Amino acid sequence: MYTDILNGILSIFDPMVLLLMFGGMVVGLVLGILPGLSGLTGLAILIPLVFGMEKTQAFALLMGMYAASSQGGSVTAILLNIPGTGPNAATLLDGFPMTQQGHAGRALGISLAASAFGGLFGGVVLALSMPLLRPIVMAFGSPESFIIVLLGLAYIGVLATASPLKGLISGGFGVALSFIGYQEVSGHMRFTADSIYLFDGIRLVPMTLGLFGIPAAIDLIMSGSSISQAKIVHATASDMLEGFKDLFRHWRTFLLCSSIGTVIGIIPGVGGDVAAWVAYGSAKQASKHPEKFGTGCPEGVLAPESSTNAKEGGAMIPTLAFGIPGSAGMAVLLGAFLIVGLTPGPLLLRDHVDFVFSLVAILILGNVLGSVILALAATQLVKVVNVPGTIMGPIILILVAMGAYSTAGNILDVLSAFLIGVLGYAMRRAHFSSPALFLGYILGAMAESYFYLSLEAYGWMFLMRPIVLTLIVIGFFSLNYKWLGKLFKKTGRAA
Amino acid sequence: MKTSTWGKGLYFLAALFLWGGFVPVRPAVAAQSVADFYKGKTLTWICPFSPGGGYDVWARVLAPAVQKLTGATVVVKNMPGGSGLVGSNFMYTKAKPDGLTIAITQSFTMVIDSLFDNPAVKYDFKKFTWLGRLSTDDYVFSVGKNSRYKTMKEIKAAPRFKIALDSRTAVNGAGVTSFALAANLENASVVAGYAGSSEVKLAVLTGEVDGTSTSIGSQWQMLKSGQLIAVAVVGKERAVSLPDIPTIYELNPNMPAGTKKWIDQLTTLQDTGRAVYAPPGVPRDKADYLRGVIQKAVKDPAVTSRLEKQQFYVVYLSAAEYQKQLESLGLTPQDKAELQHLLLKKY
Repeated sequence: MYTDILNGILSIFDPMVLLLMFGGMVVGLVLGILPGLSGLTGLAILIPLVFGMEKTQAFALLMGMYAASSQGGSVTAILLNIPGTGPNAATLLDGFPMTQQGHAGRALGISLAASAFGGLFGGVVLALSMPLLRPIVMAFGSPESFIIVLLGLAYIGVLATASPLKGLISGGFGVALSFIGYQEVSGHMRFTADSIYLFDGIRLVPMTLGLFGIPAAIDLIMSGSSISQAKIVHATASDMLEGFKDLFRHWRTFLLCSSIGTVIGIIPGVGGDVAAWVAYGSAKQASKHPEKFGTGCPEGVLAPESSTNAKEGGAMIPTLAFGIPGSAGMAVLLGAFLIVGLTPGPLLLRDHVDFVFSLVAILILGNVLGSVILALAATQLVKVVNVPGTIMGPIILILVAMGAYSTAGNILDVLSAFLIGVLGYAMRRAHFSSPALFLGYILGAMAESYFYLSLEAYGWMFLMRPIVLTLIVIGFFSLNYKWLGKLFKKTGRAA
Repeated sequence: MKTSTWGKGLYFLAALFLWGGFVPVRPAVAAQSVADFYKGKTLTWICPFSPGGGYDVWARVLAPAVQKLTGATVVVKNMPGGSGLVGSNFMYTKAKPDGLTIAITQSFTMVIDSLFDNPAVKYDFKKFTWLGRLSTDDYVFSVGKNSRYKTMKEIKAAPRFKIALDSRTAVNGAGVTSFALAANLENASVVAGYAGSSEVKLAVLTGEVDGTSTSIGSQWQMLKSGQLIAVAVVGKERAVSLPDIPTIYELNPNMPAGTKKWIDQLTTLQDTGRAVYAPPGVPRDKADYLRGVIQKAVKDPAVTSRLEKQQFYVVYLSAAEYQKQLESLGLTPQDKAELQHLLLKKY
């Protein structure tokens, strides 16, 4: 069996496989950088090409593309305040302020390092847990998903730096927005005003582009100054290396957030968007100087980036073990499995150990190489931060419009993006937190569905399940440790 | 006044255009055959669901075959939204009937939305230019390997038999309702709200719910590996891939006429399966040409082998036959109310 594992890993060092991986990565980077497009779009485009390809080659292409696309998305989040993909929205909380202060290079360095090592972490966990894959996935059901989503919602209060009350209001409004659309449990339409467009709710891409991209563009146009407000922009290789070192400086944060990402990735359905925010909130809570988060703090970039990349390794677990996708990307990749003639599931692990390990190797290598390529390109990409705002702003607006349109070819998506953009700008002026609204929007309806499913399937006893209890306890302490700590100190002193 | 050289030139060109416009000079175009019409053109194939899903796969697997047969470039365009409504509405109201736009659809959804008077429906499904049915979809009701209730006897005796659904629509509920109705399960209780078919299957595996009904194709891997156990096929006949599994009719040979009426109605609706169509008003010659192309394309071995890899089987029905089937679909207001109750509220 060990020879199989070794063969599997070595098989990726075939010239054709590497070439296809490289090609996929280039496509992925471009897609990630363009706002509105993402790895999912890339998979849809590339999957027809995979018909008839040998399996390792097929997956080198697809996974190379997918790994690289999320890194491309980080670049736009950091440089332009536009998340390239949903999970990147957490990156811009500290990534963009770092760019504004002239430290774009360092932020990019952190992002790339986190991508490489986060992906490595997820891949290693995946490899190590091979024998346990099925029991792990079987332990997670709707109650566990509900608690994780609830934790994510609880972190909304943590995110808001200015005023927790305003943060909660924003989050609440985001939750309300998430309820628009077809409600799966009851079969009713909510707040759709009989419009087909709103049947599926407010779309993710117009929301992300509108909420974050448009206010940034408006600010740029109105102020006229470039994104980077510092006199000197530090964006040389040594700055990126500085960011690289940040990962090792904050290794505890890295390990914490990669673990969070991997665990959340294992749970099918909860989605990668949750991972980045829970990681960010946890890192802030665990940090010695939480008030620095949101102002351009390196840990604030490290946290979401490591979790997002570790998540994909975790998401492969249910995909391989059961053929049940752990993330949206894995869902499309499942189709690729079937096209090359493989069936994910226990039989795959038994009969194709070598291929499974070559997948792990591709995942790791794709992340690492993607970082390297992007690092080389970064010095050129960073130049955008010096472009005057009167030019950059309109360019961003155009990118937002194109990105919104590219999702489904529906002009209403563009209209939504701009309406949400107006909301986002108003919120920014009134100091309400956009990230809080975004998090509420992502998690609100999800929490509702999981809560209902848990109750229907298990009754209130669902709260007594072991993993659920553990998560509740961890969550409670993590959110309240400050005043709990003071409480214990006081009792300690009294005794 | 002397006219300038430019003026003379323009005058000459204008005369040429005016004169040319009056001369009938296109006998070749009038005699162009339909086959020639398609060569070199772009045929847009609308898929009203997201990329990667079952309907998308069918369209993308058939597209190269259609391209080869017609000489046109076939482009699959996804238009997801409203569970297919966005695509159907587009094909009825906006797509041009010039024979260059076709679509694939889940006819069941299209028909039910229309029969249940969904206010967002802008089409009359009987007026579409139907080009042929690609497949019916066999649905199978299954329980998990570790389920507490595995035989029909155990299922009937269960205090509460939980059945998973993703979203609580009429179409999704049909397989479940047919099974529960046929087996006369008063203890059946639907647990709806799962994000998708994967989550539904996982819930059955972990024991969160007791069973579910989805297409055989989507359950195939798990059925083969024994993680899911098939209980009954939801359809009028046994499935080719599961010859030992009884149909829901066989579960209850003495089904009362009232129940049988509903089961018949539901399985007929289910049999409308996947179909290809064009906007209303496509000229007869182009429609017939496309019908012939589809009929040939589904026989292409490259197509069938790729489809079969994912457990999709072609069950072709000609456009003429299919149109007849669709014409016969209709509900009296009383039937409509009762069917809605059965599909959405009873369990």
